[in-house]
Amino acid sequence: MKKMSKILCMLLSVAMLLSLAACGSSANTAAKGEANLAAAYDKYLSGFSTNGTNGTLTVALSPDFAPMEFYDVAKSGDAAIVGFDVLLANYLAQELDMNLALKPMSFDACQAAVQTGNVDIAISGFSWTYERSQNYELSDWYVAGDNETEQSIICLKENEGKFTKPEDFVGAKIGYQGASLQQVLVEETFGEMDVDISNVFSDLGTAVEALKAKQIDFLAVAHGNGESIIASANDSIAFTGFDFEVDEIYKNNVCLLQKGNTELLEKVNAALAKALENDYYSGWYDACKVYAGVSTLDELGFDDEGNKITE
Amino acid sequence: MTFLTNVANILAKYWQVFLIQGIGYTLLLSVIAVAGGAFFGSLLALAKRSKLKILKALAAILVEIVRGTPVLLQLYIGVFVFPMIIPKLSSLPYIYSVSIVLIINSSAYVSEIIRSGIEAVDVGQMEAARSLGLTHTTAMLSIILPQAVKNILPALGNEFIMVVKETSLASTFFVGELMTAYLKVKGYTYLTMECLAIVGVLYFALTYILSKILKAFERRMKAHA
Repeated sequence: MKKMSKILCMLLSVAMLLSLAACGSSANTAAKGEANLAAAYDKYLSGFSTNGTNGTLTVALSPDFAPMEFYDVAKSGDAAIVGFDVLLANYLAQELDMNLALKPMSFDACQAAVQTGNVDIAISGFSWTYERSQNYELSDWYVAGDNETEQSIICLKENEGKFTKPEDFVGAKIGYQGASLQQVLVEETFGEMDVDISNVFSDLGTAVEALKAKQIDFLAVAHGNGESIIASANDSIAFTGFDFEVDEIYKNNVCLLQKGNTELLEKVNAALAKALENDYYSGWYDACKVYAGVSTLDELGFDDEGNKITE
Repeated sequence: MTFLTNVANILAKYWQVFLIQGIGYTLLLSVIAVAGGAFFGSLLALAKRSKLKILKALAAILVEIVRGTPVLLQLYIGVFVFPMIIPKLSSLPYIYSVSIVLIINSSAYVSEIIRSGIEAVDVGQMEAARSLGLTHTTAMLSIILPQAVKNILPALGNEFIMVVKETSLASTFFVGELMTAYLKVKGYTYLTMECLAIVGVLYFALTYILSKILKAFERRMKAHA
């Protein structure tokens, strides 16, 4: 019994030490001018206003996907959920003259939430797919910078640049996130070839670990996510040099609405058309990239690489 | 080494998300689930022992369904179907629906713990009490239940520890417990294993401390017997 309490004491003191160390260094990082990372983003966000005369727009999103949607733990409540899709949601709320309520949940749950009518709309980096178009009302496209227009494959550093054509991947294991655009692309590109494409992951983080552990040889990702992954992997991961040929319909994101909700769909599409015409998207995307990129790199001590994404 | 540095850096920046929010919400959800589960579980156990056939059947059906389906599925139903039945829920944060589901889930298990605890007391005890002239209710309350509690409490403690781990599934709806903390931070940093390691240590510390407290409690119960 004595032994047990000794172990317990040790565990507790380690925890105390860690949290003490944590207190010390968090004071340091705060001094680095964190506000500047969010400055561009916050400026866009505060530019939106609504009277909320048409009620509340509830939006489902899966905030574990920087820079499209992620958490800024320095903020609290709904404001802590930030990213490109959050700006878009705020813009839509303004155009529809509705208040905005964000409902964070897992990517799968987003679709269930729309289907059951639990939320009005899901804005979470969804790509257009045929199956989705059958079961949901899909909005017109919105552009998310190069996050979706370029779809790439990443690998361990030692294979950088060696794989450029589909034939180069024969015999290899390629992983991807389930129910994603990458799944469609991988199946279209490698489905007929002798490539192991049975490696489905529920989220990107797990897939990256599988890549590091050499359980898979390659991982299909959107280019923007790839950059974030490479930056935080301390240079152990790189682009293969292979980019998918992305069909025009896949290049952009769409919002998901409940089947039959054409009234809201028309309003959303009108707002999206206006945003496209005025070229709002690229500014929003750049702001979010700075926000996410710098937080990922600088804050976690990858200064050398950090500049690449912020420039 | 990079791994440890990353862990330290993550803790330095996000310790509040893990230690305060994460542990706070995990404990909050667990306490709600176990307290609610103990209350409604007792009612369910009573219903299952009731002489009313319908009540008995309904309780049995509920317990079987809850024990026979995964918690994750129950959470999906709770979050997306309950608001259709109770419209008030749809305007509340998901943590309300999630709590209700965890209470229902925990009730089913607790009712079985209580039932087996009562049944483990020798039948002779009830027979002796009745032959001494005590009514069924008095015999139950002052002879059977005090003995049953000794069987029930350790198992209830185990249920508490199970619930602490089960709350992790509530992260599907980002309610803020430890697994949500993991999702928040790794979505931002793409450092999965580091965040998992932190969350793993915290879960272990929580359940370990809890089980020690329960052990001490059990020993005191035994000493008083």
